[in-house]
Amino acid sequence: MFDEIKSFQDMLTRIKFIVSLILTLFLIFLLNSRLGQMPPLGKFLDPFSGIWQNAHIPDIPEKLDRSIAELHDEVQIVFNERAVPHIFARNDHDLYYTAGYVTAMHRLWQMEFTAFAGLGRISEIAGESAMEFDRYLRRIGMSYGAEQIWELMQDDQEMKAILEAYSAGVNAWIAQLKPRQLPFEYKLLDYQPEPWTPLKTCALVMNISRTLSLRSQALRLTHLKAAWGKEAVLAFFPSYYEGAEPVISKGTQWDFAILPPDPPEESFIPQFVLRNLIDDIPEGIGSNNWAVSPDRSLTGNALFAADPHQPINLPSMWYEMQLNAPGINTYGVSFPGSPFILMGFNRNLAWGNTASTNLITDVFEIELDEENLNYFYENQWHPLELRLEKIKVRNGKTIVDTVRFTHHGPILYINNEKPFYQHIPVGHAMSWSALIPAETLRGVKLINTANDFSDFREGLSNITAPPQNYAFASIDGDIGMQNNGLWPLRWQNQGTFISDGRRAEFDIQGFIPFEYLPHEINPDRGFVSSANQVHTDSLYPFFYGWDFANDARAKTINNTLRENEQVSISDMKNLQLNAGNHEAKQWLQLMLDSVRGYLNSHPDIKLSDNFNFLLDSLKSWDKINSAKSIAATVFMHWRDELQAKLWKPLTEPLDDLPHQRPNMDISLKVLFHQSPVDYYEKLTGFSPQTGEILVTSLNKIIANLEAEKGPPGEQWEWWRFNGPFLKHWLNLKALSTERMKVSGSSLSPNAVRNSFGPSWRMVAEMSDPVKAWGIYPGGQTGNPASQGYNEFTIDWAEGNYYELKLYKNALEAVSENHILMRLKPED
Amino acid sequence: MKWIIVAIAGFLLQIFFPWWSIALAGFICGLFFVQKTRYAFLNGFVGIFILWGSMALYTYIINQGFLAEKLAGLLHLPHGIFSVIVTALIGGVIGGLSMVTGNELKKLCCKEGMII
Repeated sequence: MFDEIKSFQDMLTRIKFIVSLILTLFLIFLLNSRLGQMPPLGKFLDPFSGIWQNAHIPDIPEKLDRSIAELHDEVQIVFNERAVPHIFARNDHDLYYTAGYVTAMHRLWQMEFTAFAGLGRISEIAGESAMEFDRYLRRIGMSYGAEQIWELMQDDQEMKAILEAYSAGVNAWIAQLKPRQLPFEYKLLDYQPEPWTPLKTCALVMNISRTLSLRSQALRLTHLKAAWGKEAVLAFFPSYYEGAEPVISKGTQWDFAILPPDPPEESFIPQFVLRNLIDDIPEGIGSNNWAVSPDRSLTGNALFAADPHQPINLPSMWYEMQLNAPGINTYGVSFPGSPFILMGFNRNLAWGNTASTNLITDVFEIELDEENLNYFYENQWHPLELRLEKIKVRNGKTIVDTVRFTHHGPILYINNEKPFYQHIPVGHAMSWSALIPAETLRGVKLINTANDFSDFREGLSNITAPPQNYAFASIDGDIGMQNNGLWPLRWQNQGTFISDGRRAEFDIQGFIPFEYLPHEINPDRGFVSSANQVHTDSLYPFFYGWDFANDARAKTINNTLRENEQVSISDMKNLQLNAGNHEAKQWLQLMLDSVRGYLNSHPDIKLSDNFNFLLDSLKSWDKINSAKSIAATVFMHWRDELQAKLWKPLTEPLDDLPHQRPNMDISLKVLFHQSPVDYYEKLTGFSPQTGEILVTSLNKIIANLEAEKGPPGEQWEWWRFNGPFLKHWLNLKALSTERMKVSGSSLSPNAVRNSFGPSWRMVAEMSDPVKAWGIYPGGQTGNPASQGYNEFTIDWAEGNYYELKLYKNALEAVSENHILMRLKPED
Repeated sequence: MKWIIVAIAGFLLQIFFPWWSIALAGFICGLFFVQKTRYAFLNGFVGIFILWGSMALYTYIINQGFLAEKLAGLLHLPHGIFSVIVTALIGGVIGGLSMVTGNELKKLCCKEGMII
């Protein structure tokens, strides 16, 4: 009996042991694995080496004296109170090595992630879900382009050495990381950093080109051409029109020794059914820059301002630093992963760039043979060049993809494939001048060390993509604007529509020489400025595209500068923060008059209850997109709706094809019966019913807003629709910010809009020494567990600036009570 | 007060080994202290719960809840302090189960010391 009980107990113990053992091991396995989007919870939450430890990583390391064998000489890094490193080295190698070391200290995860995006390697982190995105990136030639840049650099020993030194610095930081110090996102996504390589820096160059210049509306306009006719399309999408405010002063004379090529005699009608086109640039990408000459400046020194508008990410796309070594002393912002200052200033000059959306992406219809190995060109078959791309998928197999190259460029998708973006044309090759390798990085380095406009221009002549408007000002009192890049030499309207890839006369015929690109130095008006609008007036002899930003921002900036003959630094800051709406200034009165006229003649029309109240608020509106303005909300919704309503008769038949409406400027002109209204009348058979369109669209958006937000009140304030918020690269809400109560719009110099906005604001007075101020949203450290992660954001939202100090040497920097870190070569 | 020993063992092991070494702490302590299964679980659970919980709470306090709030967002928890509680619970469950495992093994190996 007793034995039986004992053996029962025994069995029970045995069962308990086996069950608890299995359960323990199973739970450990489970908590050590990533399940879907969930991090491995045990490993992740372990307070000894998991995510909690990231709260103990200081923004500036506690161990300030370090020995590093690879350094040639001692390097001093002075951190200011915002954790901005001022690096003082005795040679280039040590300077760029240290730049890599400190950038990795603050931004390791971000720099690797963005480089992976540049190379089409996101599947290695995110798994199968990113595979088609990676394939797309390979097809447009991102990894190919990066390899070409690095290959070209093999002949430039100086640049090669710099990129290698930078890589070694990044890798030295990675090597000393303990598992508990691994940056936040690696722990969250459960993977490890790999060594940095110069190729990754080259991939970042491709990223910039993709963001700013991979763009074509050729497919949309080709559809419109088929429906409306070529003349109408060219009238609705003009490359220049009266009243526009170009970048380069109107009336500038150009004396060029070459002429645009002749157009082909026979035009081209595409043979394939097309549904798609290449990347869209989201509204909100754009930038301002300007410089004021000494005779219009309060102090007699030239003044400079730049604010690029980009996705406002967390961590910021910018990293602030000073680079100082014999022959170089510069301060500004760099892209984490690239060793140079992209926008900033040195002892002699300040510079900043804005995207210039001239056409450098062309789309060619390609005829392939049945095996997809040859393409038809000039009456014969030519072999395609094949490039194999290996896409590694996390926890999966490696996929080998073939990219087919014609002499135009890569074929994006062949006929039986489904494109990644719905709007990419199948069966077409793309020619994109960013795929022509160039010494872009050398160009940036030359700008960092430039003494004057001619050095500056020489630097820019090396930067072949993306094209941008570079403004500059010098302590000698010069101001200038210069564009750069490989602009295809086009006949009038070449590239506006899809080109025939079978005929040589549709090929890109060459590029506009650098000296002939739009530029001006010390113009009569006493300032230079750009805001992504059209570059030149109709006197410029070359066609370069039509798809430019609304010039409302440019008009506000230029009018403000014209009216002020004694511009001060605070005027410069206020202009960057200006939330004025030039479109409303130009058109709102006309719109309201027309509404009044229509209402008087249609007294019986049924309107929403708040119509008259909101109409009054528009009448008394100051035409500033202030955060709390309700009139701004109404106007901005109204303009979108009336544009849709105006073009509906013409676009409705095209609804299931890619197409687009003429821009807002053209729309308002047509609405008020100005040119090119005649094309509208010809195509529709009637004149736009101005009053009716205005009243019904206003009434409709009011009803929509009421349904969404209730009666007009706090919920209607403009910032609730447009206010900026910072978005983490992984689009994780917990690591991003809420919408902020900030004034501005895509039509205002302060071009905040959702997750876009001025990602860096800088102003400078070109005295000797240069005085400069700047700010970006975010913080120097990319560690989301640190208060420093987001420490500049409130100041940025409130329009404050920090002083930027270009110290002569470490001694001067240290004297201002900052933290000194010393890196020494081993004895 | 056996849980204090578990906590100390866990602390020492985690200096050298990854997070799962808390299971070793529970297991080894289970081998040493023979007790009723539910007390074994409770001691292992409390030991690691307190160890992980207090470490996380310490971080929570000196970091002013900045990180904890982000973790709560990532893990869909209502408040930052829940990140501390979830951390402690995960540690506690592993601690408890592993202590039971050690305890039952000990009971199987040397039946003399068995408590009925």
